[in-house]
Amino acid sequence: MTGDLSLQRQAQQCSGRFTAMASSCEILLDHEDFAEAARQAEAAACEAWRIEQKFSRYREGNMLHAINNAGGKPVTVDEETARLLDFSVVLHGVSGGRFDITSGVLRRAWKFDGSDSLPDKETVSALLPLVGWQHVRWENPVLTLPAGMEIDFGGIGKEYAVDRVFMLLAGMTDAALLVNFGGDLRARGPRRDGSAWQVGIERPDAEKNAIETVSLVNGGLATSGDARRFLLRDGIRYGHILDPETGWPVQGGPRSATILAPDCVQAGMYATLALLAGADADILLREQAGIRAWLVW
Amino acid sequence: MQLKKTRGLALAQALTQASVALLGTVAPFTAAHAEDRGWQVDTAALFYQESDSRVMAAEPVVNMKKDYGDEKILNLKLVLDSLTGASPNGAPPANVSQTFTGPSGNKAYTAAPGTLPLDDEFKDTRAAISAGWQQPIAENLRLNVGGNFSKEYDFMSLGLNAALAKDINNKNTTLSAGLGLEFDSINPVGGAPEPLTALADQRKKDSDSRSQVDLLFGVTQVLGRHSLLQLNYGLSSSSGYHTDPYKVLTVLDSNNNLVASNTPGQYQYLFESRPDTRLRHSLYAGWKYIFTEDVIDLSLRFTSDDWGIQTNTLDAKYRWAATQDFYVEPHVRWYTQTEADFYRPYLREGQDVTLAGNAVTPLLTEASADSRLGAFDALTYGIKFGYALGRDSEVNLRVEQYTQTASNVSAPATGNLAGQEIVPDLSAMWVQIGYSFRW
Repeated sequence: MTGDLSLQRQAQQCSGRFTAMASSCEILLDHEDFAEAARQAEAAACEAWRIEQKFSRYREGNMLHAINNAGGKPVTVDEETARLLDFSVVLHGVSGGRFDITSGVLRRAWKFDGSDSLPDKETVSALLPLVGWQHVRWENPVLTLPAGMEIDFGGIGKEYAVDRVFMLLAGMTDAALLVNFGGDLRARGPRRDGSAWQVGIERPDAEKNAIETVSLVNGGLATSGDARRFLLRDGIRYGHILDPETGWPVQGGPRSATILAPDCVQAGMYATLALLAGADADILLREQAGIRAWLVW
Repeated sequence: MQLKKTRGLALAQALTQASVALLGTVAPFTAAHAEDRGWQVDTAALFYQESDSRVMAAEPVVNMKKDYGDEKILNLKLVLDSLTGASPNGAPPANVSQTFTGPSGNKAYTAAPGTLPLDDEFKDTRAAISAGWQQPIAENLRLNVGGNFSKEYDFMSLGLNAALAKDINNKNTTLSAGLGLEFDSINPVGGAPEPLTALADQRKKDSDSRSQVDLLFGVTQVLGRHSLLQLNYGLSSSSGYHTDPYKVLTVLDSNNNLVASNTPGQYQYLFESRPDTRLRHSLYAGWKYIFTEDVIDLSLRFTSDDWGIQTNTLDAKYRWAATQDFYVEPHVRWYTQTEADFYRPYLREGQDVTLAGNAVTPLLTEASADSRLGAFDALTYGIKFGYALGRDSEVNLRVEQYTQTASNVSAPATGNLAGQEIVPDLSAMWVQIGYSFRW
């Protein structure tokens, strides 16, 4: 597995950059050993690409393809996929069913390109029978999807990759480090000079477009919701988070949620749950003491 | 879909566990620290009222806490206490009128027959400040240091404390050890009386002092996903002036009658005297259990000291999370105490003192009639309501009722105290309003 990987050494830190999961990824390491940094960045990139390719919808011959093309027959999954499935089950439960990894088929009806072309109600309704975790049979390690249904880990894959790469690097070095995959990140600190990592959070407000800087020592950050993936018609904004029960976007919720939590996976989950909660997002997050949230309505 | 959304604490637990299961390792919970979030401020005002026109108090409190990140926390607290009213002076009610010289030496007050003598030269305002700093000094090891100072009209106190807390077993167990030092300076109104001398003689000296050392050892253990247990052992040793300079003891002759003193119209009372040292052990066990969103909090405390006082406390609270924003917390506390070895509700000729005319000679070196050193049972019950106004802010109201009943004290069958309620029941009520916010 290879892709482009670039390495840099600046005053006080080394960094590696590559592309994975449709994002610019960077690894920041608080040490100046270039050779060590090369090994660490290589390991990080390889792990990111491994996860990307294992769960990519666009490849044939990987685990995801096998699951989605089994035609209703049971598939025995590996241990890592099993863990991701178990995790999806928990999220499905705590979100009251709104987080559902089988809802990917709805993308056949929805194209979030900023235009006003909403799909027909019939097109969406026709896809609804293929959506719903309740139709899936999951008994670790055997997964049985009814024919025509699909799963994808797009909602949690990137945050999972961030935490996996973080843990891999944390085992290779004692230095402070930051793993950033297109804004979903995890950090360990403080740096040798005692300072925290400075992270900028983009606020997609049309008027302000401000960036807020947060000092992060330890923890994960993830953002859900995207200013760019939406449809707009008659003044109503349709975000790309779809309710699996109706097939239509969740209404009344924040446009984006950025969460700071102990790890990236948890941060991503709170961010997703916040958007799925619609108007209740504020209340949901207010009850959580160990996290910080930035919501854009 | 029939699935119900999970909220609050249950959600946090579910996600933390799910994340651990997914990532295949224990995610060390370091609270994700972002930039300076200002101060968390808790304010409260307490209003306290005792029955029978005794003491009334108002106490505003402000507590401010700032998290500097990296688990470094500063805590500041300011308490103001304003007390007015009248407090028992140690003499039981008698079937005759009793007159006493007040602490300042020039004012006298009288208790009508059958009423409990109360010293009402008692208006006091106290201010106390304390500051504490916490920070990690090594992995899983935290240090806490602090100081406190308080001042009231006749009393000043200065204290220092330090504690270490260590987490082991993946932070499921915390061991702690603490040391406290306190120095108090007592400057009573009218001077500190010489112990067990006659009230009528007013023999006093200026001021006195006392110091105290406290040691505390504790273990906090997480028991499964829903509960926490805490055990503490404390040892406290104080030396110096422990006596209450305003309290006296009634003297009764062999007929159980009050004895005349050199001051016309006043009977004979002796100023109390307590030992110079006190060593106290205490054991505490506390248990908290979370049912989804409700919490039950139970605790037991046992203390024993070398004054002969043993206490037992059982405290129970149940926080009912009625809605997302509103909770109701009923509370009940049972307390029982044995009397100090030197506790005497009154002094008797022959046993405690000898009389020669009006002169009283004590046979004891220590004696006190302060009902707080006597044997009694107390019951507190109350309720608290809290309403969340936002992420870090809450308004709350607490109302509690306290009743204290002395045990083991009886009036003599004959004489001036016959038929009197030697230590009347005490009841008190307090109301506390609180407001917490982030500043």
